[in-house]
Amino acid sequence: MQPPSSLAGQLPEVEFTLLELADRLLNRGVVLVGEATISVAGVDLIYLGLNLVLTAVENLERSPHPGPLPEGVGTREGA
Amino acid sequence: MEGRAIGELLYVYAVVPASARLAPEPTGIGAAPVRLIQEGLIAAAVSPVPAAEFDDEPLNRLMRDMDWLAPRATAHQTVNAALFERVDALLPLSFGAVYRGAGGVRRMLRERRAELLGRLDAVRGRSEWVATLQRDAERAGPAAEADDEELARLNAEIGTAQPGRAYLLRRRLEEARRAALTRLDRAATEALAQGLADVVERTHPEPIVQTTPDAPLARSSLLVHRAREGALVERGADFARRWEARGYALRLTGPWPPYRFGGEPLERGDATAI
Repeated sequence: MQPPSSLAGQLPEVEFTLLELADRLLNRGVVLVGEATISVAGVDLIYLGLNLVLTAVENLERSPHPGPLPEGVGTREGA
Repeated sequence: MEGRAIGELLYVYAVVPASARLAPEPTGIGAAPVRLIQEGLIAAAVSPVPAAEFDDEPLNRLMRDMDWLAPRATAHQTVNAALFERVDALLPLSFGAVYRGAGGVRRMLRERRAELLGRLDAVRGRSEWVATLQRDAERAGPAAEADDEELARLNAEIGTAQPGRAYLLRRRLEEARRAALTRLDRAATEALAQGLADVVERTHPEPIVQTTPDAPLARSSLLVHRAREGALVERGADFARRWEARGYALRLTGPWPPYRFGGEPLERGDATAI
């Protein structure tokens, strides 16, 4: 997964899971979506969609993938 | 730009100051080039997307398909990550903001000009991080028990009690263990909040989605001045060193573009709660 950005080596790289990405991108703290001419229809539906998506991602990560969800070592990988 | 087909669907990734420059231009969803639509002091980063997937009805249906969503969500983040490194202020949009034609985007930028400028100011020079606190019950349980007086007393009593009384004491012991673990959880959460308080500008508690036993204890979005990112990581490492033996671990991800704080009500913010 593409990290959000890098500090050109100043900070250690962190791998992000699909779950974390979905959490950032499909959240309720959204700017503008409700106002878009066309958008996912309404905030409540987005939220519902989010829950579905998160469940799907969790299942994805629990099954065949290596699932780099936090095993909880240190603060950042490599820190 | 205006000469493009009327009704062309434009996917909006982010709002940036009009002074932003995209060179080289990032590649967006479906490998389409991302361009800026400027309106006064602000601009939207957009790329064309196919109506067959991004019109209202198909988008709502396809959003539930992980195989469809994952590469497009990744492209959304890739564009925002690239923009984030090039501009001092960025409002990343949530996934799925689609406008019909450049005119619709311009109208939105015009109508919400004051609000968007205020939001850009609120996140200028800052990044977003996500702190997740987790606890390993196998290690935290004994740690909670180690310095608990009531548990020590109960254990000693059980050692010498008659079988009937020992049974009752063991039940009380279970309860006391749970309470001690809850106290240790609270102590860890407070220690983390205190450790981060003076490097973090704003905190937003996030819902815990998992319901499994290994669900995190707490999860928060943090807004941090970019100059303090190193300090944040150090504070996180300090916490980890002090709490690791007791079974507590912190995962810190970032720097994210301010997905959460870009959309927050402008006055809110609490620098202490995790």
